[in-house]
Amino acid sequence: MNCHPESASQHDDGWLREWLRDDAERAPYLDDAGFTARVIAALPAPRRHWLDGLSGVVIVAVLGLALLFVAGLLQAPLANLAESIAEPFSAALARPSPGALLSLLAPLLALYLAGAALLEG
Amino acid sequence: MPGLADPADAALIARVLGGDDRQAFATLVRRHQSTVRNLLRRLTAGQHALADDLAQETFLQAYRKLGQFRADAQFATWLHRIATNAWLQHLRARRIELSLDELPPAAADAVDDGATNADLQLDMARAFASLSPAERAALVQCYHLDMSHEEAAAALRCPLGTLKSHIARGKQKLKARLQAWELAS
Repeated sequence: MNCHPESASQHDDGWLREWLRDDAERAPYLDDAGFTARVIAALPAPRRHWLDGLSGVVIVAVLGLALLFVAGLLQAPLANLAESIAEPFSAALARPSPGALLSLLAPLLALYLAGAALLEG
Repeated sequence: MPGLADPADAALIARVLGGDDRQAFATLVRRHQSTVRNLLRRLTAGQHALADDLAQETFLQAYRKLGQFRADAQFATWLHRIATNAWLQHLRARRIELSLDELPPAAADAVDDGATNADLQLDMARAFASLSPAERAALVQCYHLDMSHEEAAAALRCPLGTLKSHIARGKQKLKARLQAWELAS
């Protein structure tokens, strides 16, 4: 904004001051006329909590698998364990079918619970 | 601004924050839409469509920032601040400066004996439309939103002296346009 010296209009303007103060109160009530509906329609999509949970499962499962592989590099039995867990995953992903994908749910759930317990701890 | 959030507003806000309750937010919008739209109609010099677009933007921003709302403030005051900022952003996006550019002076309209409050309201709207954006903003902040000069200067991000100049010049112009009303009153 530009900087200007203060104006000298300090003469009697009580009536204007009062009108300005009353102006907002005198403003008519505006009928909603669909305004609220337009605002609600423009809101971002609701958050889907189940999707957050599912992404959490996938992240924890992937981290768990990665951890098993890293640990397996140090200890052969763990490597075998990781391999035996990873094998059905790769098979299911190579030839996806409802049955194969369902069979992955149990280990994924176990990994999720284990990961969640670790994070809680 | 002093005062706590209206308990009814506070309960609705809690429902929105707690469970993304859109019915509760719709109730908040319905409750405050008229004052927010009226404020923006003043700021935009009676451009109703633009005022409603900015009012919609105001409520969308309010929804996004609701977690930042402090319960020790009035929800309406908070909304008015967002509305003013939405209008300022609109001006900046169109590279309209909040300057003291003069508009051609307008002669005061004659006032009939049977003039009503609605006529005064209309004349006030016309008189406001003759002000520069900066003068409108300064007068709305100080007289409609009842802010102190310091608060208004902070809200409009301008020096205090500049704000006082806007107010003085805006009032001068309004007086010139509303002189007939002064004589009639």
